[in-house]
Amino acid sequence: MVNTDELNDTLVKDLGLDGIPQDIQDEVIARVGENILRRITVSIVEKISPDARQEFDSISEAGDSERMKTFLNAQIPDFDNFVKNEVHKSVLEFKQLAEVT
Amino acid sequence: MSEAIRATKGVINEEVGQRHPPTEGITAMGNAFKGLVKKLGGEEEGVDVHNVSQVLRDRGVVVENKTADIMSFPFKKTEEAQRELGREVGSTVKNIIEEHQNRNGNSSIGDTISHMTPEKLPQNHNESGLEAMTGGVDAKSLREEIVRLNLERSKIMNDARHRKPTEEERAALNSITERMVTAKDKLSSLLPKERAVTEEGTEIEGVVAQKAEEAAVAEPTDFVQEKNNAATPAPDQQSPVEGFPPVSAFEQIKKEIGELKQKKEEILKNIRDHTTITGYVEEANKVNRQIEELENTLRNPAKLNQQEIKGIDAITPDSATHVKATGEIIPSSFEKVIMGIKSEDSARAERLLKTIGANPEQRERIEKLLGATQTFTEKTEAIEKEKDPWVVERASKIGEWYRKLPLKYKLVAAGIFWGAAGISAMPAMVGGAGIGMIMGAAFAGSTGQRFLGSLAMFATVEGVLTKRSLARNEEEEKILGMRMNVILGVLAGSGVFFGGKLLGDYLSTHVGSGVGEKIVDQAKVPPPIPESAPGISTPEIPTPALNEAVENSAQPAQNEYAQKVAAVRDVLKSETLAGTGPVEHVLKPGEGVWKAATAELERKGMLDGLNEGHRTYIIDAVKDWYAANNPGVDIDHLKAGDAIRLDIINDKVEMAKIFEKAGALSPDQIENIVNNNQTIAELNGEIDHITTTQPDGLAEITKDYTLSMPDTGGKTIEQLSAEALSMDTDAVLHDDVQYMFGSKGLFDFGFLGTNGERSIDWLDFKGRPVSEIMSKKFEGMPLGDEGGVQKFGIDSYGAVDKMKKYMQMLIEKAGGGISPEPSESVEHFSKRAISAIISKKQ
Repeated sequence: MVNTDELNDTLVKDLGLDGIPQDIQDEVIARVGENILRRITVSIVEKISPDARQEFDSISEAGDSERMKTFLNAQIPDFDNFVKNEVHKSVLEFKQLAEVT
Repeated sequence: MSEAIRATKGVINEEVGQRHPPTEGITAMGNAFKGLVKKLGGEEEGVDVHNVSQVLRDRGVVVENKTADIMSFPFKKTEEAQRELGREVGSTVKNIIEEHQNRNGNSSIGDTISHMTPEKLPQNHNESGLEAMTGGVDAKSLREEIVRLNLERSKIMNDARHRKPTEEERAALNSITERMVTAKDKLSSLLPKERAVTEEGTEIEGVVAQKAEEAAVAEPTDFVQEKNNAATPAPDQQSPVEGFPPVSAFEQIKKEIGELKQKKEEILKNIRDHTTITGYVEEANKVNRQIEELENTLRNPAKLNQQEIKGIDAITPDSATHVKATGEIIPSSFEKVIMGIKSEDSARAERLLKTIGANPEQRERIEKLLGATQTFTEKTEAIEKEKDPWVVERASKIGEWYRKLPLKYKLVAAGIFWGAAGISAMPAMVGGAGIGMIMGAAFAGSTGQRFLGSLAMFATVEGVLTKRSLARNEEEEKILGMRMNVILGVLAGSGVFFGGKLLGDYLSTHVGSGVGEKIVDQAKVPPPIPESAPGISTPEIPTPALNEAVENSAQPAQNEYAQKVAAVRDVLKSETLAGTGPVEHVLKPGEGVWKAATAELERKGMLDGLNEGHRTYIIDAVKDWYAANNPGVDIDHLKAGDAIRLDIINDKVEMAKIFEKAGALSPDQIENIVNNNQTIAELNGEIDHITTTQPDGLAEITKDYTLSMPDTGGKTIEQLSAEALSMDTDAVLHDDVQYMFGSKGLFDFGFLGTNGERSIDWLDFKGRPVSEIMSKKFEGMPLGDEGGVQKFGIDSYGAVDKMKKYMQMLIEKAGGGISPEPSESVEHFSKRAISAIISKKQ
């Protein structure tokens, strides 16, 4: 079982949010999350070959998240690591902006 | 004015002892002054322009018995004027005075400026002033007149700052505007002779001229701005949300400047290309002034649309003060964030502002953090803009999807991202799988509930939710509170307490809040509720005891408890509360009311994680409800294809009562239920409602894997009838996956157990080629289950071992040479093999 308290604490500490009100913490976390998601999205969508774009849209319209995940796995080699790297870059960038060490 | 003053010859004002600098003659300003006196009702003849203050007092223009000393007045007084009348007017006056001093040494501009305060001016001064100026006066006099009009206008606006201007004031303002326009036009008619339009389109005039012109050309902006100040703000000006956004004001001005510069280039081209250029020169001058005006507006906060300052005022008064003091116009990143939030949810913005903190250090930190998110967003937007439209459109769609998510889902996503980046304590596998799920859900535009449903298997998600999932909507909170009490009652009634203040707070807030009555109102014809399950009694809801027990509990598993609280709340919200209307179930072969109830309850997630005793009690209650409400139906002789209605499952009130009663079961009662189940199964040879138990070891799987179809209670294929075997392969796989990867929840107590098909392990395995699973090797001997670190799916020794053995079992049972294709996925092969096995048995 993951120690979720530790996760929360780590997340808060990573962002330099310890000691500030939770509402603010939530706002910062949510906004950072949105940006990370958008950046990952751009990175992923860019990788989709033009031939596969129609299929991508088709799956999107169908709202089949499982199929979408399979599709993305097929389109992007080592999808998980690819995403992780993108996330990592984004997180570090934010921390620099926020001057969080 | 300085000309007039310079014209004096060291005249000493005997009353106040002021010495004026010597001059050689009476200048245009002196003539203008004479004209003014004449208009005031005196005669021009005899007017002593060398003693302006005396004359003004004589004429009633100046009442105070003092005049300003040039050395003491200008700066201090002008600074005050700046504060009172606005930065732009004050600085203009100040600059004029400075200019006079620079040019003329000591001069007593105070004679004119200080005493020509608006309230001392004659009612018809405009006429006199302008006529005097146009009657041979130079551009400088016109500029001075414009400044004076500015002062007058500012005075009116100051007077009306906190109220609506009167009709008279409005008329005066309009009059002043007209006079300023006239003065400006006259000034413009003089300027072309002095100006030359160069390639750069700019000629530097004297500082005084520039300042006066700025004052003149800025008039429309200031006029509107100050009028807005004085008048009751229009609705669209009261909030940066609904009104003119400050950032837009800034951007709009920049855009206009760009357009004007482009226009100027075209004019300059015409000047070059044509021989008759008078019209073009005038037009160029006009454009130049417009550009200057706008650029000054950008540089000067007092000129920028007042709404910008007001917007900031409404958000952070300190910041607004800072802006006004420093002249900084553009809202800080932090202020942009607040304004953005305000535009979406003003209450939230207010709440955030209230929590920013009293001490400067914390406030600074918060501003920096939120400001960084704004910068981060702007950088993200810049990245997006560089991409091709197809990419941009998809990214935009994702952004919209995310923004529509409730806050808690956003937080979940952020937690997963952080984990994936290897920054948090979240295991990397969880992060990776979680991100895949998020992306899948996001691209597919899944709703928040589906999104969370996909993620809910993560303990980490529960953890993220734990601290952040408290609903803020009061009504929603009340309903959830009711349901939470029910669920938590299960814990309490079972003698399992995880402790924690949260539960105590929760119950003290919600118990007896009248929510029940409200929900009852929504229910239609509440059916009777079974009072008891077989062989057990149902005590009343032990709320006080529950409170007490929780408060007194000192169990160490508070964190886990808190996780479950959050998770249960979400399950309730996303599943239970979502149901409305009838619940119809068409019986499949082998199904009765019991199995139908089980299937429907499971489908809605209402049995997730409950232990066998509680499950049995709840299922039985639903079955009893059906029997009580269908007296003409022989529930022992229903057949496949019959449609039965189990509407109670969607009845929030009645299901809550059932849960409450289940929650009140004692450990002994639960044990009795389980024993009864076993006895019934042994006696009847059927175990259809006994929950499958988790295998203790892998040997059990390899020895006799059950292929436990849903509702078969773990019967092997050999034990099932041909009819039962007609069940589709999906259902078989579902149960097998549940058997392998489903969990019974915390401490085997069964709270929010994991749906096998939504387990991390299965989600990870199902799309992978069978060959990858079968060839997966782990280096070294695992310490304990996972070498001390929780791992999932392909990274988990235990999970991979299970999967390997399951694949092997399928291959063996399917027989006939059926084996995985080289790239065939686990899920695909499983179904193919199961289908083959079923076919063989039929």
